[in-house]
Amino acid sequence: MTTLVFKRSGCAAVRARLGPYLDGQVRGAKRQSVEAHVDSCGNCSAELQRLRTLRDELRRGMAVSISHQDAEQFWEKVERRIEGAKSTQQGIADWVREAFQLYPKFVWGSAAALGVVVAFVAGDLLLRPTIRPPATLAPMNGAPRTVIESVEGGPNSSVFLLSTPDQQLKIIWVLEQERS
Amino acid sequence: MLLRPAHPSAAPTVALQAQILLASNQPGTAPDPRLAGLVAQLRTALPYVSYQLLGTQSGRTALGQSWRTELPGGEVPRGRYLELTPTAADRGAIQIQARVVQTRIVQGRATAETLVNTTLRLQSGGPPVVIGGPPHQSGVLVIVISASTP
Repeated sequence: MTTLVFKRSGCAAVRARLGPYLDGQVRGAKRQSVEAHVDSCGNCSAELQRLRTLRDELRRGMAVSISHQDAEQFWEKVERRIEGAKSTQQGIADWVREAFQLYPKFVWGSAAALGVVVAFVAGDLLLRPTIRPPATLAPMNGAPRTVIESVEGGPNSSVFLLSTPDQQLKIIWVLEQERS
Repeated sequence: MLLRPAHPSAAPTVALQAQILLASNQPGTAPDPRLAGLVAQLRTALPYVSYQLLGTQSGRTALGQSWRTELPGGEVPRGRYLELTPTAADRGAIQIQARVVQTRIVQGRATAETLVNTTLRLQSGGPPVVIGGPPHQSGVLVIVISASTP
């Protein structure tokens, strides 16, 4: 099994704070500590840049459209990517668990962190996709399954798609943007 | 491909159920035995400390007709709700449009705002789909949606 490996000496703690740091929620000595670490750690510096880019994309409310007939193929591809990434999910789950423990309300401040998780799990899964449902219901072969044919966040929310490791449960996670 | 039209007079009814849970990292009461399997499954993806069943709402509606149930929380009392609209049913597969809407006070006026709008395909009596994330009390709501046809 492949797992995400962080340098535990400080990197994990700093990475858990990068989302809130970007949102200005880390202040004082902790903020200085994060900055000092990022300045001296290439990996965390790169991670911060990646989160910053992701956050900017989130806030732009990135939308994507897929042609009517490609919708089914799109989601099948997403599922395949998730399946392919299952080997990394334990490491990701550990990271998510850390994020949940740090930010139990899971508000916008941790959106970037979760976004990265989703990006790891399903590289093709974009945020707030706008996909038209197919005109007909395709028969469900084999075991009962749930299909999310389209999903769209609201004007002040973003959505992520998650799945349990056994693929039995599909989860739509809604993140509300903090209002000023 | 048979697709039953979303026409009220000819449409079959769809039974809908929404289990509304509060997930939080606060130590909770003893786990609800009715949720044991579901919570174990949820925890593999959403590692909250406790899951508490706030309520189970169920109803029946025809294709093309909306069924709505109130959700706890939000800025405005009774201002947050789940709306499910079955749009098609065919050989045990049910297509449902689901929306979570909440009312907010914007510049002194109550404004309904969609949090998520999704189209789902569920197997009648099969695995549910979960919508989670809206904050409530010290945690978040987790809404477990399932559907069945006669």
